[in-house]
Amino acid sequence: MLLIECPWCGQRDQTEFSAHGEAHIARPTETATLNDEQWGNYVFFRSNSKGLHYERWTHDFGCRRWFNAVRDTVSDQFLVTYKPGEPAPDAKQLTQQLSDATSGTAKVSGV
Amino acid sequence: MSAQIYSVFTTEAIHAEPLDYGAVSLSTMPHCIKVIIRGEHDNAAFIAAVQEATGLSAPTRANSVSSNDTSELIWLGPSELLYRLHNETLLAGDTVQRLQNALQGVHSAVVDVSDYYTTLKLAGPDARRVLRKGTPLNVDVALADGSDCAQTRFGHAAILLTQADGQAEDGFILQVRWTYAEYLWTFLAEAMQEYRT
Repeated sequence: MLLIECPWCGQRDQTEFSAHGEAHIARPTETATLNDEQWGNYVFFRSNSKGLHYERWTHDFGCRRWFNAVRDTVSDQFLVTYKPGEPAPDAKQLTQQLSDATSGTAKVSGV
Repeated sequence: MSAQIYSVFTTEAIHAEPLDYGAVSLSTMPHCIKVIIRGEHDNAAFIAAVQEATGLSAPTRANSVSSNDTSELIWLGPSELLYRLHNETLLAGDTVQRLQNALQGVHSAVVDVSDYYTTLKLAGPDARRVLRKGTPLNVDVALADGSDCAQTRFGHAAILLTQADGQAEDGFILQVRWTYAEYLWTFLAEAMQEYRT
């Protein structure tokens, strides 16, 4: 059973949540001047990263609020969850945290 | 015996007699007024207006309830409260009006959802065990205190769990969308069979 920390109402079972793709994708401001390639990049192309992945989630069966999470796509481990509007946690620091955890020197928080 | 067990799984059973198996019982609660109040909880004017109109202190902690003998104010989210009022003579529309008047000029929304939900009561010493059979929620942690509430899942149904009379021992109130009420009732009725005495 995978537990996810909802930043609004606490730790709950994964079956209460659903994922909604990559987070922190800003809509282009100059939409009138975009060409097809630029639109295509915004609409369809995602980082598809192996390892740390910033993504959007909703707590469907709980408070029904959106939040962001950083998840390791290899181990499915949630490194941190945070409210929308809050700055994205630093990837370098999280990677360090993750390698410390896997080498057994520190414990990953918020999991 | 089989016919008797089968009868508790029918739609009619929801409106019929409560199921009382001694250590655990299931019944429908009388209709009550339910109003969703939307507004940012960190807006002092919003909280003050809600408290004035309901006579209850607004729950500031996530997943908590503040209540008195006839009403409850339930935390549903950082900008959402549920007001439940048990009063057979008041009209839901009047309650909405009273809240809207109090919230005049405050960024908010008030919606009557009285008929959208059905409330069931699961009570008795084995109620907690029955509840654990359908929900992934850690019931003992999430509902440790009488003023705790939780929105979670029971089978496929989204439910709001509160505690009867604000007492952790007395039983649980399960609020569910009425379209899921039959599903929830039959799931609970089946789950209760093993605790039948």
